[in-house]
Amino acid sequence: MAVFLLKRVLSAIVTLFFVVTVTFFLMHAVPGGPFATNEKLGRNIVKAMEVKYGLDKPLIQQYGIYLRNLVKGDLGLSIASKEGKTVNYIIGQKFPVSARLGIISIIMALILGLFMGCYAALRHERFVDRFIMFISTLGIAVPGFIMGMLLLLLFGVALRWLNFIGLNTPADYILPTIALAFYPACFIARLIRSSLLDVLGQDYIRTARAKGIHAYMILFKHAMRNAILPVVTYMGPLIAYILVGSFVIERIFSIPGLGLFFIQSITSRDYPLIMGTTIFLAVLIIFMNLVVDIVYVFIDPRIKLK
Amino acid sequence: MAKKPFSLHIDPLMFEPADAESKKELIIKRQSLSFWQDAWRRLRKNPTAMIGLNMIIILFLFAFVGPLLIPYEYDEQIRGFENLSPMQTPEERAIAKEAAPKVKNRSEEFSYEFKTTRDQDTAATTTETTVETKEYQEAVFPHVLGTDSLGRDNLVRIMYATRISLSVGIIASFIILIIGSTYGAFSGFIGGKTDNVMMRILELLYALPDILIVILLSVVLKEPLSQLFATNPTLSKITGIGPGLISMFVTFALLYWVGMARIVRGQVLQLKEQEFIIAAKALGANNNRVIFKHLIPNCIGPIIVTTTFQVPNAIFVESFLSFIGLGISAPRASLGSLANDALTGVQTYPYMLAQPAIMIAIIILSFNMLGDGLRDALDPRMKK
Repeated sequence: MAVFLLKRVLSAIVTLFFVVTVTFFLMHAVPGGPFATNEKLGRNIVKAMEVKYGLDKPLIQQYGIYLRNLVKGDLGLSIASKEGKTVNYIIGQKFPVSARLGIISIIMALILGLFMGCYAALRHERFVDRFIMFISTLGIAVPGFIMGMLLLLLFGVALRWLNFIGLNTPADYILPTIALAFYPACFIARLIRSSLLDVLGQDYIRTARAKGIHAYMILFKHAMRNAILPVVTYMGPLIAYILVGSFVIERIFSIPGLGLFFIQSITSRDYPLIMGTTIFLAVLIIFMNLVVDIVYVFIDPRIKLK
Repeated sequence: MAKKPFSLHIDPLMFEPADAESKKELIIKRQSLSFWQDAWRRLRKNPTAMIGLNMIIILFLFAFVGPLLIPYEYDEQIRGFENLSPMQTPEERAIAKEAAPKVKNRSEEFSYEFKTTRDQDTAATTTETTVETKEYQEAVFPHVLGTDSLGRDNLVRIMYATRISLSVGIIASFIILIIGSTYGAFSGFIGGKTDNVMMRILELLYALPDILIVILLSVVLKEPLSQLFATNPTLSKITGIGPGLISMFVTFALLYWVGMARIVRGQVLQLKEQEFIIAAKALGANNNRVIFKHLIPNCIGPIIVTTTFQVPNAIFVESFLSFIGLGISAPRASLGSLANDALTGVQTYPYMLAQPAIMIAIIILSFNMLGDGLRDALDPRMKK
C-alpha cells in the first residue's frame, strides 16, 4: 500500500515538474519580455520587477527562481492588468465563479448519468434503454461547446426563456450547467449501464434475489457498489473536462470566471497570466487524478497493489 | 398405402439419382471473402455507419466542390450587402426597414453602389437608376445563408471553413497515425528495457493535461510562425495554409499520438509471439521488415478505427482553439472562428452562430457514426 501511494505521488510530482518546465521554457521562447509592453511602468519599476522575478539573470537561473517562487505559491505578475495585479490575486478573484459552476456541473453530471444509466440497465433491450442509449450516443458525439451554442440559440435567443449573459440569478446557471454536464452525463450513463448489466448477471445478485431481498435493495446495496467503480475512475478525466470546458462555456455565456479571463489573456498576450493559469489548472487536474486514484484503491479492496 | 408392421416404409423416390440442379443447391454457396470484402459487407449492413459515410461524402462535396458553384469568394467583401439575413437582398431589407416605423432612414448605408472589391469593372458602374439596379439584382446569385458584417457570403465562408476543418482532421489524424503506430510498433516489438522506457515517456505524456499544453503551444508558436510566414510569402503559398494551422499540426504531432501508440503496442505484443513472425524471422527478415510488412498490416483494423475516431477529435480541438481565438487567422475562417465572431452579435444575427455550430455538430457526428460502424466491422474481437 505504502509503496503504491509513494509511487503514485512521485509520478504525479514528475508530471507536474514536466508541465512546469515545459510551460516555463515555452513561455520564454516567445520574443519580448513580460514587462516590455507595459509603458505605464517606469524604468525603475521595470528594473525592480526584473530583479524580483530574476529576469536580468541567465535563463537557467531564472528557471530556478521561478521554481522557488512556484513552490512558495507565487505565480508572478499579470502584465495586462493596469494596476499590476498578481496572478494569484486574479485567480483568487476569478476561480470561485468557475469552481461553483464546475461543482454544480459535476454533481449534475453524476446524478443525471447515474439515473440514465441505471434506468437503461434495468430496462435492458426495451424502448427506454434504446432511447437513453440513442441520446447518450448523440451526447457523446456533440462537443460541449457546440451544445452550449445550440442551447443558447434555442432557449436564449429563439424562445427567450432564459437569460444567457452572466451568472446573476440561480436560473442563469441552468444553461451553462447543462452545456457542461451533458457530455459527461452521457458518458457516465454508458459506463454505468454496461457495468451494471455486467454485475446484475453475476451469481451473488441471483443469491440475493433468491433470498427475497427487495429489488431496490439489491440494486443500491449489492449491485451499485461494484457497478459504480468505473465511474470513480472517470472522475479524474471528468474534472479535467469540466475545467477545460469552462473556457468555452464561460465565453459563450459571458460568465466572468477564470476560463473567460484565460481566453482574454490569450488575446491580450498576457504571458505570465497564461503561464500561471496553465500551471494552476494543471496542478488542479494532476492533484485530482492523484486523489481519485488513491480513493479508488480504498473503495475497491479487490485491487492488488503493485 | 396401409402401414405394415416391420416395414421400413422406405419411399422409393428418395433413392432416385439427384439431378444436377439439386446437387448444385447442396454446395454451400459462399465465396471466400478477403478481409476487406468481409469488413465492407459488415459495414454496409450497419445503417448508422452508412448514414455517417454518406454524410461524410456529402460534406466533402460541399466543402471541396461547393465553392466552385457559387460565384463568391470567401474573402470577397461586397459593399451594401453587409449583415443580410438568409436569402435577403439589400432592397428587401431596405423595404423592411422603411416599413418598420421607428427606424431612421439612413440612406448612406444603402447607397446602391454594387461594387465588389474584387471585380470592380464588371459590377455595374455605380448606377443610381432603378432600372439598372434591378437588372443587376437579377444577375446576382442569392446569398443563401446571408452575409456577414463585412458583406462576405456566409455560405462560401462556411464551405471554406468546413474544408479547413476536414483538412485539419484528416492531416492531423495522418500525423498521429504515422507517429503513433511507428512508436507503438517499435516499443512493443523490441520489448524489454526499451519498451519500459518508451512506455514511461508515454505515460508521462498521457498524464499531461493535454488541452492546456495545446493552448500553450499555440500561443507560443503563433508569433514566431506568423513572422516566418510574413517574411517569406512563398512559404504560405507552398503549404497553402496559415501559421495557425501549422502550429496546430505541431501540437498534434507532439501530443496526440499517445493513444494510437498504446493500441498498436498492445496489438504488436499479441502478434509478435505468433508463428508467422517466427517464420518470417527464420527466413531472414530483419526487424524493419517484420514490423512494417508483418506486424503493422496485421493490426490495421484497430489502427483504422482509432484513426477514424481521431478525425472528429482533431476537428473538435481545431474548432475549440479557433473558438478561443487561437488557431486560424483572418481572413481565413474555420468553423470555430466563425462561431466566435458570431457570438458578439448573437441577439441580432442568431443564424450566424447557428450555421457553424450545426456544421461542426454534423461533421463530428458523422465521423463518430462511421467510426462506430468501422469498429464493429474491423475489430476481430467483435467478430461473431
